[in-house]
Amino acid sequence: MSSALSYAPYAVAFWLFVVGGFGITRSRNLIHCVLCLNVVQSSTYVLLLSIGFHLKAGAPIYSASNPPGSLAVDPILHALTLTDIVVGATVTALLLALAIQIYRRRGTIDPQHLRPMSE
Amino acid sequence: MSPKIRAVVFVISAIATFVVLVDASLGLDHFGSFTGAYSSMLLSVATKERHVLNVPSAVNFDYRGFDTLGEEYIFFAAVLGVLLIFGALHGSSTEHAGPMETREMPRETSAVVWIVAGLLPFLAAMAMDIGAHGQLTPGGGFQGGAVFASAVACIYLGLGLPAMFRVVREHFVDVLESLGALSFVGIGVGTLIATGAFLKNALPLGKTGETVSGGTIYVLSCAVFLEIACGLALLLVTFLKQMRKQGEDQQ
Amino acid sequence: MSVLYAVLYLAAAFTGAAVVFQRRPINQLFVFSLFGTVLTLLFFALHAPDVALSELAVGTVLIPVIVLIAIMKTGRV
Repeated sequence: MSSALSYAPYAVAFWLFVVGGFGITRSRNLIHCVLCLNVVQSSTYVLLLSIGFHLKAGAPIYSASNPPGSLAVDPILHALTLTDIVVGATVTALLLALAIQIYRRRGTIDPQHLRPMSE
Repeated sequence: MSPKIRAVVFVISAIATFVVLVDASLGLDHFGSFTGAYSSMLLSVATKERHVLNVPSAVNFDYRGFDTLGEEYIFFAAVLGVLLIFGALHGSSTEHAGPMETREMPRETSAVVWIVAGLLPFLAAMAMDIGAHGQLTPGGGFQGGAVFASAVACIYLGLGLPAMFRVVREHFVDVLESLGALSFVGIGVGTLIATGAFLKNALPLGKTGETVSGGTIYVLSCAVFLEIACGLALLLVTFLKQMRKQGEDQQ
Repeated sequence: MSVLYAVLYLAAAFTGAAVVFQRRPINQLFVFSLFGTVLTLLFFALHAPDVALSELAVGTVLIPVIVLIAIMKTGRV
């Protein structure tokens, strides 16, 4: 049972991934779709940080009270994740700009009414 | 296929995906017991080699600086994409033509204006502090730029659309953003010419714990701060210009 | 593993599902802001202060503002 609990954080990340995907397939509004995509992206951040975690370690930021070289969680995964969060926000903005243009051209924002070659 | 069938198909494949992923994750270490070789080695040598205290910042701008260059250009391309979509590049710079239409929104109460005006300098200063001390405290260019952009968003939220357009001059911000993006590559090319390796840390490293330390880590962090802050501000202003256009269409 | 991690992970899973199951974007906006805050706390508890800072600035303020503008532009509140 405790071994199941020690893999539960990864399961939370996979749950977020799957739930976000479900939201994308059942979406009736492109903006809702973009926010569900953001949930999927957040699941990858949760997974990366959960993998790199060590219970008895500190942050990988050293100071006088945390001398350099002491045990810390994985800094490379942090570096990957923090650039990804900011860049992911910008790509979200790009997708929302596309959604606004689609509304202007087609008058609807419902993915189920937007067929590629309908007009 | 009808939406219901699509949902059922998705749920079946989602359950299968979830089971496969959980089964794959059983091969990982227990949660809270990660011991990677690369990270252990990096943690033991980073402060000695590069004289920085913030190890993820050193990883971002020095050890894996090339990946950060790629990420920064994804950001640049996304901002460029938004500008292209809204047609903001070619001369539709009518931001000073026509009245500023704020008819749709109720007037801001004075409480909101006072709070935002009081918080704004603090936010901007804190953002620059986070961005400039990337090698010492948790922070760096990316975080500082994001916090600065949230300060810019507060200008719109608290002080309204005309204030936003008066404060954030689009052409100036555009030039600054390009300058930030260019200086990242410029520093890389400079170190290539000076030492033969792209983005090698060739500047004097300084003493650990001082503001100016870490060599190119400090300079690259500032360049990234400039680019992210100005890029996100440009993004916000471009979106908000569409707001103003809707107001003009409704007249 | 302490109770803190259990609570934070469950809160992240729950608010993530809540973001998806909100139909109207204007409601989803606030739930997404809450999700960003819960993730910030989770990242902070996982000893990652710089990632938490990034997620706070982005997920709580920037994305909701841009989504708000998009909602106002597409007329579907």
